[in-house]
Amino acid sequence: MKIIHSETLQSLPREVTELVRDGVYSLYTVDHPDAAFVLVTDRGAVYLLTNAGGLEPGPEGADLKSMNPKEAVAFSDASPYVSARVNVA
Amino acid sequence: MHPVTATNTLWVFVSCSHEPRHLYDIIFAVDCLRCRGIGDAQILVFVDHPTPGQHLHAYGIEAVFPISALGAVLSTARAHEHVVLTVAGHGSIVGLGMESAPVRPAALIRATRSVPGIKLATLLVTQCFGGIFNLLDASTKPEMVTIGATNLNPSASLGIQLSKPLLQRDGSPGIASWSANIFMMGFFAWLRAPTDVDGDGAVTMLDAYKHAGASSNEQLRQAKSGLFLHARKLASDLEVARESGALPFTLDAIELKLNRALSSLHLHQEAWLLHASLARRIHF
Repeated sequence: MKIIHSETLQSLPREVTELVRDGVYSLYTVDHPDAAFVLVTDRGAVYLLTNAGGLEPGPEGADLKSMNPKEAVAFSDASPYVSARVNVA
Repeated sequence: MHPVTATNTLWVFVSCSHEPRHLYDIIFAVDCLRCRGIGDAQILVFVDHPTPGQHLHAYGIEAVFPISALGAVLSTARAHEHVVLTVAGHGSIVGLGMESAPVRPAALIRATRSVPGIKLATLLVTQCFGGIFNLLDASTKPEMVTIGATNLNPSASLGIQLSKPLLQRDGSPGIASWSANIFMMGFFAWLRAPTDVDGDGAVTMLDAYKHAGASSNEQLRQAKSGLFLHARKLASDLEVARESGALPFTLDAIELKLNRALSSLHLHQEAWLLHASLARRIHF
């Protein structure tokens, strides 16, 4: 799993970033000439993203598997809206 | 008495969900099991996620099957005395998964009881509407404890932050923050270092239930004041975004966050347990 800082995707709207961090939306690296990432919403809508998280036009109605997702991506930085802290020491 | 040892119990996870947060709940639970010395041969995962390997394999979770294989895999699994089956992911008022073709409680229980050598089972239902698994036959051999995170209501997930990231198989830091099922997290966090919650001199499945129920309700209660303010801000953000002509992509995200905050704000969760006399005999 690829772990990056959320600021890497500076063009991604804050709310989308938070849904990726929450694990509601999915983010993957992708081998694509115009995109670095593929984002999947909770409803299965698929979006191609640039290196900076900007939206790239992609095929409408595409599903995730047709995009050949590579690594799943998660963020290393904490959410500003944490409800509980869990000690795993 | 039924002691839970590192080798006599099969730990099974079932998740109907396409959202990675439900796979993260399983990754956390498996990390807790490994802390107790439970080996990977004792862990099976069943999901309907389209790409589970991209999430789970990085954490060394390899025994991953589609939910459609649940009955066949469990009935031919290596013999175990005790099966602990945890339901993560989404639940509905008729079972797990799609309402058009759900996994019904009776079918899941039959599959659990089919594991070779089984003497008892524990079913941990942490998903929404877990109460539809209640009031079923618990005393037919093999006897079964059922623990529900909530009754006939949605279950609670909240934003959590671990004190340190879970490690990936290659030793690199992995996930540390997500929207976690707080009852499931409470249960497995207790399992990392089991304690005698009720002071009866024994560390049993009842203590796990009491810890998970009380800790998750306390977390939800504490979260609600923040959720109220957060929901107000999201409602305002949504209005501004609409007026400024934001893309549907952005509007959908704000609206979803608002709906999730409101849902948690008004959510009531109360844990339940079926077959307490058996749960009292399951020792850690």
